[in-house]
Amino acid sequence: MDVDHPTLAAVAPGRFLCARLDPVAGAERMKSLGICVGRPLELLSSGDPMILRVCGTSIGLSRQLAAAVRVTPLAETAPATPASPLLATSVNG
Amino acid sequence: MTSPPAPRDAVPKVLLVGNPNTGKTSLFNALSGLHAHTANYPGITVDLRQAHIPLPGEGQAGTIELIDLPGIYSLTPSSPEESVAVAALSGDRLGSPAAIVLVLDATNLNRNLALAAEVLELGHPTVIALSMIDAAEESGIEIDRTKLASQLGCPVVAVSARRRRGLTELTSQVAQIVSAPSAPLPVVGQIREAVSACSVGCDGCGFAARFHWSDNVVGATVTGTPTASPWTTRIDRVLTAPWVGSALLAAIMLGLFFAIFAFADFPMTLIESVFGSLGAVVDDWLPSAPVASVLWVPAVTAVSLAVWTLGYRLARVRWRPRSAAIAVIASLAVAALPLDDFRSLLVDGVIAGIAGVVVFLPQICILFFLITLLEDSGYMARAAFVMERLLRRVGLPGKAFVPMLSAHACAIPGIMAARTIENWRDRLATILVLPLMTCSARLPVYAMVAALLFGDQPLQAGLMFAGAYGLGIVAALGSAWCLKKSILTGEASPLVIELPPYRWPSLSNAILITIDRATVFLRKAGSVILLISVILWALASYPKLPASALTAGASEQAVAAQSLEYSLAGRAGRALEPIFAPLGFDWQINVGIVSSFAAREVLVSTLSIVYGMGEEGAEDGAGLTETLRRQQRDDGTPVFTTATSVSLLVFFVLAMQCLPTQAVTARETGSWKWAIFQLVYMSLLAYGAAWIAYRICLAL
Repeated sequence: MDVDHPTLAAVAPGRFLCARLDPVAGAERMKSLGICVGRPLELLSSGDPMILRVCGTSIGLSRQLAAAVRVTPLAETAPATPASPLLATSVNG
Repeated sequence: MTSPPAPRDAVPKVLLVGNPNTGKTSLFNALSGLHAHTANYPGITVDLRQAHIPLPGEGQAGTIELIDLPGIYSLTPSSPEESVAVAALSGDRLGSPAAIVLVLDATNLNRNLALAAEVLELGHPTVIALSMIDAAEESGIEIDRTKLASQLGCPVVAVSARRRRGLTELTSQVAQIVSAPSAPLPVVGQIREAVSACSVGCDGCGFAARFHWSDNVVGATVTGTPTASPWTTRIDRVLTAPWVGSALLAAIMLGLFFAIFAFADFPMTLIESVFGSLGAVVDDWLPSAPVASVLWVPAVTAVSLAVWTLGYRLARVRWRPRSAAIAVIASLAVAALPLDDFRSLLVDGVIAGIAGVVVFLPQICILFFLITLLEDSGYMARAAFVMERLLRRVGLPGKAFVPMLSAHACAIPGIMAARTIENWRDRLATILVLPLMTCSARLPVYAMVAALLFGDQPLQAGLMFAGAYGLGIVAALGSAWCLKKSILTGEASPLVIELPPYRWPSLSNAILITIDRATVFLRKAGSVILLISVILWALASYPKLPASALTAGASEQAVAAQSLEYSLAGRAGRALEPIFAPLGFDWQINVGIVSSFAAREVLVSTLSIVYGMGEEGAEDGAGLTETLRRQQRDDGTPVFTTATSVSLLVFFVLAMQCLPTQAVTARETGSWKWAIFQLVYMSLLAYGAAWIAYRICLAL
């Protein structure tokens, strides 16, 4: 599955799903904030730095790091709570 | 992972853990109030806030030592502060904690629970504090606490530091688990299963799995979805807009500084007059004729030892053979002084030295109070966001903004605030350039030069001040750029920063934090500056002018000037003449520079003495200015020409003249090599810039 998804740096504001995170310096910090495979992201403003809404908070992110985040667009009708099609198993809480 | 067992009768340590921006520090302050102080734990490079909190309940429960750890997003640390928190949690350095209070933001459980998953896996006895419960209720979020407690396997207490809700319940729960720690939690096993079950799509780091687990828990226990506060989004649209945001930031900063100067004026004048009266009182109180040695020596030695003990306690120096010997020898030396010298030591050395430090407290306190309010409100994150582009151009991270702002009160807290910068090179570059920013201690010097140049023209004087501030900032940015291009190569780490929702800041929280920071300033800077003031007093008093050298009928001030010239400090000033002549300084100014190399503000009083106006001359602003204007060199030309005044100003803007700052740099960077480098490059920069300014002024 080597479809090259667009990076967060290249898309217009909207809702997305995080598809992949390139291993760059700073990836750990992004992941701990919620920018992680299978999470929904909302791009609020694309400037430099850009503003994302992820996991319930706003995050300021350098364009440089945004270029390491590969996303797929999320349809407008997608539910607010995340469904994660990319995780093969569902977890019992 | 072995950790040293806590000694049986030691106070149990309870760690306060959580994401940043969850109200953790407010909770700590609400629980501890004024009992909190900053402590230094061995092996830990960051000072931690701790407080002894009495626990309710009978029997075993007594007191706990609550330690506020820096906020972390996960157990993989990215900055020095976070490393400390992670080390403390794993039982390194502080020993195994008796309990953990895990603070989760009720308005944002989705992300907070990811940290909870990691922390609960550690297996320590844990209590969950669901903070900001009032904000959650206001946005219509309801949390089923019983269900959450069973999902997480530990007690859950809803708290609001601001409204003081749930605090007693929290302390009782802590008391319970400290006295009767429960068996390892079954939920830990569940979390581990969930994390290892996730495989596809991520590289097995566990984050995605923890978020997924967190989503499920939230789905089961929380009703109502947290929505972005509409006000926050609206305000951010303006505050983070490319040009408007920067302009507004500049306006806010100007407002900040205006507030500092306006409000600090009265307390500073008050402090100066109080210490002035104190000096006069002590002067009167001391006997005018020498007292019998057998009474005098023991009395003075005892008092001096008491003062040294107090000083050691303040500076946290331990009583060892060497420090004890220093205190005893110094006390005996003081007791052996002739009465007049002792009087001078007390009034001009000690009291003036203490006054010199305390007088800066108003400015420092006001600046920190306002910075804390801005941080609490959430604005500082936006400031770092807006400054990111400008600072990135010189190789600094946007997060360097708050340290740079703090450095305008005093570089020491600014350097300590650089701990939030993750990348080592970025942090080092920030620390090395911070002292170039104009700190409070330079202001008396600026005021003196402003009076010389623009006596009755307040507008030009104001512009001069602004120019001096600007020069410091430009020099800092330029030096950072040079450093990044030469020694500390590499791009600044890109920005990842949480922008918390805007909140009304808490005044009590700001007051407590300001008191803490002011205490740190007094402790770190105050003790060293006081010691330096006394040493300078000795350098400026000895060797004493022999009676034969006194001209007949000379005034007290003339004698003082002559004595200063004869002393070690005076001789140093003479010796430096060839070095500073190209900058337009005469030997008297050099004496001032020698003395101010340890503490800047000392320049004004030193110049006052060396030019024959005595100590009191420093307070008589107009008189001092007149005296300075009248000074002539050997060839008849005035000393304080425009060129000399400007070069003196430029020198003071840029020179590294603060030993306490050097000590903190050495501590924060781990070696004196960087502190020495800082001294050398800043001295060269100051000399070069002052020379250029002098030449330009001469040519105009």
